[in-house]
Amino acid sequence: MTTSERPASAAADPTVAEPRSWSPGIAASALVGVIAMGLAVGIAELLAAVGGWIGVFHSPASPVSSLGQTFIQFTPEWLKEFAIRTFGQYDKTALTAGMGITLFVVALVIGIVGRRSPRIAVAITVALILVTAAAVLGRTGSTIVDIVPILLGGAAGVFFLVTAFRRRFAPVIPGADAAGPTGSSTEPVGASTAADSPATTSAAADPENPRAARSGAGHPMRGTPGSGAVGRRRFFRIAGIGALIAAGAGAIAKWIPSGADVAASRAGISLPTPADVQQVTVTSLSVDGITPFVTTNTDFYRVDTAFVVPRLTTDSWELRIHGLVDTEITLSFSDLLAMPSVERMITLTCVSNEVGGDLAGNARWQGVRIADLLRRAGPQAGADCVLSTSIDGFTVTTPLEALTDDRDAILAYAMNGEPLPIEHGFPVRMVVPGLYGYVSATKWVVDLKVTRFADETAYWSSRGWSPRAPIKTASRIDVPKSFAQIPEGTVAVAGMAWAQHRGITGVQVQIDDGQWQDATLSGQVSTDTWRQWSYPWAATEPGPHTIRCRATDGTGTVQTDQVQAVMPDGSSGWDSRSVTVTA
Amino acid sequence: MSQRLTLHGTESRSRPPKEQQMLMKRALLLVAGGALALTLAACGSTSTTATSSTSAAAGASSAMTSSGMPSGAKSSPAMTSGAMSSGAVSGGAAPAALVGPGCAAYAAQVPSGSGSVGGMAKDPVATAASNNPLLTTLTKAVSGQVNPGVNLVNTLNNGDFTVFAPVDSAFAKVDAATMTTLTTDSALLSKILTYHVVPGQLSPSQVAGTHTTAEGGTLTVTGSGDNLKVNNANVICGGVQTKNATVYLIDAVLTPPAG
Repeated sequence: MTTSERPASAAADPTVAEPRSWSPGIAASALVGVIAMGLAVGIAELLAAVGGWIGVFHSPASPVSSLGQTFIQFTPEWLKEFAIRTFGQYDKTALTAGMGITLFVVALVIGIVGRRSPRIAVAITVALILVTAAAVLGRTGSTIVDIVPILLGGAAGVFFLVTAFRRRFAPVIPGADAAGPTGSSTEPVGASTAADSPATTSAAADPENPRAARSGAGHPMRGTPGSGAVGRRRFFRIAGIGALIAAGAGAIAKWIPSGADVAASRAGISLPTPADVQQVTVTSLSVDGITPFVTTNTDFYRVDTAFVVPRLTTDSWELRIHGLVDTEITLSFSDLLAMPSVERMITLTCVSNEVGGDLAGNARWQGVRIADLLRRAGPQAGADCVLSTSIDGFTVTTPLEALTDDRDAILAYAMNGEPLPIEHGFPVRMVVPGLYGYVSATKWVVDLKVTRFADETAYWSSRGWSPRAPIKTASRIDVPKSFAQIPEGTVAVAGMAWAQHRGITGVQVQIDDGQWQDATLSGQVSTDTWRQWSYPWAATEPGPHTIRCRATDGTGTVQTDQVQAVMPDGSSGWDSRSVTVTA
Repeated sequence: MSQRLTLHGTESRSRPPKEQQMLMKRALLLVAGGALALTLAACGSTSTTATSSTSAAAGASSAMTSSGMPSGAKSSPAMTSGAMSSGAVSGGAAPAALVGPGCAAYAAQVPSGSGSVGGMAKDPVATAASNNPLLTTLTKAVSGQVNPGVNLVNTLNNGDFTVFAPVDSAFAKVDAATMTTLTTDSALLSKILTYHVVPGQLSPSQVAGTHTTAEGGTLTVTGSGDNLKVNNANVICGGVQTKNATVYLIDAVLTPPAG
């Protein structure tokens, strides 16, 4: 045993260990970083879930959800396109995973940095906490109280980091059995104090110090829990506890159900009888392959920007009507249900629907007329717009006149006789006949601000889409399908036509360069719904043919054949299909 | 004695096997715990998102959309902030990797925007082609700008297809006399264009073989991996997703079989 460099005091007693340090290796440190992150996130999510359930926090309080939403907002186009290209329908999942991986890597870095410089690791963690807090505050509907979960969770993570990386080693106590088995359980606080003192830190804590490293060579205390073993054991104990807490918090947060809670809330609704029910006596056309007149909830198209489908229970829902009004109104869900309601069949359309596309649906909606609510609030002179906001921060500007004129613009809480499905806006959404969804159909709506167009921009209108967007007259061919090979004979040509709030009075069909022929129409519940149409084509000439259709709206105006792309205010042009008649 | 860097830290002596085992166990438990913690915490608030994309045949999308046509609802939340377009790759076509020797060059030439590989995914095929600088001649041909009597835009934008799209340099190889004929011979232009379309979406792993085209005649895709040929044309880059069709960029205009 080489002892030439051992200090004289220790040379006398070969059973006392030199101050021997143990610090976690890189992998263990990285693990600590991950556990710290898991702890912070787990506790924050748990607090957000519990608080949300109670009603103290709002949806943005969930740091994962807020980070995700913000991440999506700031994701560059090329990355989104990469996600769509590579992952297709799982693009959302991929971006979520990407975000998770980024956080995981940051956690690893924090851990590895913390091994040598706990202060820097803590600084990085604090920075991350602040970024997350900013993300939470940046979402509409959040209040200052919503950053409590991430602050507390973050504090837990930081505490864990500091505790795990605190330098552990036993002080040199000549002659004392400080390093013996019984000594191991008493080392914590005392040793840490010693560890923090600069002299011992620099002299003995540094594992790179060859003197310290070599001092234990061949020492007979191998199997005994020496100071090094204690440090290691304690480290892993701390890490283990941290991991358990993180896992537990995360598990509870996951099960604290926002999901189950919302489903229960939805199941517990007893819809009032509408005071005013529209009679629906439409003769639907029966043609193979035609779109059904009423779209079921499961088949209804869905277009929105929700990163996570907002979970809002009726208990936590509240609508605030404010802005340029004489009286501010705040409604709870029971307030809304207590008001007289109407039931109307209304066809909705997305502005991004291409010619012939399927982003249109027709359903029965029950709710309260927005005009009645606004009358109570009393919009002031000069107001021309209502800025509505979803629980997740999505905004919509709607012309005030469309919400106060005689059309049935409603705050809807039921769709086809049942409470709104969660992805279609539960518990309350706007439905405004005659306007594309992006300027009228706010889902999960919680705020209506009466204002002026000049003072506001909404989500899509700040991205190049027109602020005012009445639905253009449209018609589409459902059958026959593109490039169909059809045997000679009578062929049912059929489809849909709509011009909400003007209504459809006629649809015409043209084969090749022939005369425009009138199609048979289905009923129309009101000018706010679409109509089906069909035309029996005598397909006697074999070969390729082109079928076109065009509609005439309630004002007598024929649908334009001018081709326009969906941006900025909806597509236009006559739909057409090329088919082949076989001999 | 040299230092040994181990998972558990730097130690200057070897550890007894039993202690080593215990530490390994603990380390493994911690790894599991850490991973579980992070996963559960993250899953806590995002579990409902996953369900929206598992409903029947779903699709890639920029803004999320789901269609209400008889084939069932497809939905996904919106992603891009630029274009709000519907994006359902109907038919449940799984996103496939791109094949072909020219994909890198295409990506370099059109790195972003509506004509890029990712950008095309959100538009139906004729619209997507109209945004792609490699397909300007094809776009003109299908949209009535070569021959006013031939306009297949709406036909191509609705339904599920596989489209073999000749790039501009492919059309440049067609002799001038034929191109002039096509400006008035609607039947011939239509025949040629519809010969490049196969009903149904075929991913690169499915595309090899003989397929009946919309024109009625058949074409044959041979080769494998990055070397595919459609009849005598080479696939430059294939498997490009659009909202309703899978596109294979090819370097020659295909000739439909006579009769």
